[in-house]
Amino acid sequence: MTNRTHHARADQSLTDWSMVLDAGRIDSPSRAISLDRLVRRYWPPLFAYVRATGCTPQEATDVVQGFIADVILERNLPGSADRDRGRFRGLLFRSIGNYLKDRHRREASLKRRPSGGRVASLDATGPGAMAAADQDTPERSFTRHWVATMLRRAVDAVRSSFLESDRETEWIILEARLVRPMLDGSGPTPYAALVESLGLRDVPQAAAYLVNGKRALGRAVLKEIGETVQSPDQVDAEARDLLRLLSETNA
Amino acid sequence: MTDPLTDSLRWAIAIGAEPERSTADWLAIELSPGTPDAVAAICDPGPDAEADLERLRLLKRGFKTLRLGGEDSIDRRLAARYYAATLAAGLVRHGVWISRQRTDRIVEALQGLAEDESIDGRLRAVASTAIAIASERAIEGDATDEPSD
Repeated sequence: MTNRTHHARADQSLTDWSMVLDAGRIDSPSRAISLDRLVRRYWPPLFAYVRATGCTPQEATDVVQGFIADVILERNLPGSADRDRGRFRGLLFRSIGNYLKDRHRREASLKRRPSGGRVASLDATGPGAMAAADQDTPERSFTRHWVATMLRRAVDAVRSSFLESDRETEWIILEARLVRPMLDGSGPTPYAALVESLGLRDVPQAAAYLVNGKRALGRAVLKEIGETVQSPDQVDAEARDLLRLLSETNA
Repeated sequence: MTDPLTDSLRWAIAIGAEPERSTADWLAIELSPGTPDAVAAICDPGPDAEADLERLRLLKRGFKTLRLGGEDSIDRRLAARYYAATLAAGLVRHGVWISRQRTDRIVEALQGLAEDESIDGRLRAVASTAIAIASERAIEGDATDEPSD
């Protein structure tokens, strides 16, 4: 195994939390990789937060890039993650809020870039999650995109797992009945249509496949939440906190 | 008012965080919306006899799929018990086997269900009642189902 391969596999095995801690260690040899992953992972909720304060897409891009350069890189925000009772979401949310306040206070219009070069601007304008952006408060928008990012990652994990294990039919049903409606708000494909197009025996067979897929996705979501907190016993509290925040946004 | 994102997270958390709720429960909820779990879906009769019988047939076919293709052995074993329970409920409430399997094979499955102390008491009771009915008279099979059902 080459060093590069070994390095890549080690990187893939990092949980979100260990990635955060690694990004905070100035002397870590893999810090640059962890920082890059961190920025890519959490760009959408940060961008959504700033957009919801009234910034244009270009202004929001500049602000988030400034936040990354000033707070994440220069002030080493990940380095203080272990002092935040184990929830990276809370730390990131408070930090971007404080950054915006400082920025407004200074009335600075300086646009900064990280010293390592341009930060990739990921697509934070996907359907569904961005639909309510105009009505959202910054906190609401941040939470929605945090959850949307997490759900997308869980969906990707389940899709890969099903396709790799010859469970394409189950994936197609899960996507048609649940994933697509979840991501773009469209209605689920009727069972009868799926039974016909996939050559299934009957509706109960399709429903059983869907339930298998839902269960796999539910586990994947909890795993994703688990990777943003410091210990397994915080997963339940974080999950319920996210639900509460989302429910408040719909009240 | 909720939105798809909130709903998705809610059920994902519910599914992932309630290990005591089985895949069979989620399947029953999918096939019989409004029902709280698989035991209620099997044991609680609907107001309309014909709709109740059709619901039992749907559940039976769903449990059959899970019995063969469940995620793990626990899911498959439980689905096999619930499959048998739908046959028992069909006989007790509607006087027919909702299956074309041989009676001795069905009764054997019901005896296994009735003796399985890990299974909910309501399902075991309906299995015992069905065994008693089957021992007293010949039962009509279900002409609408496949022989293997």
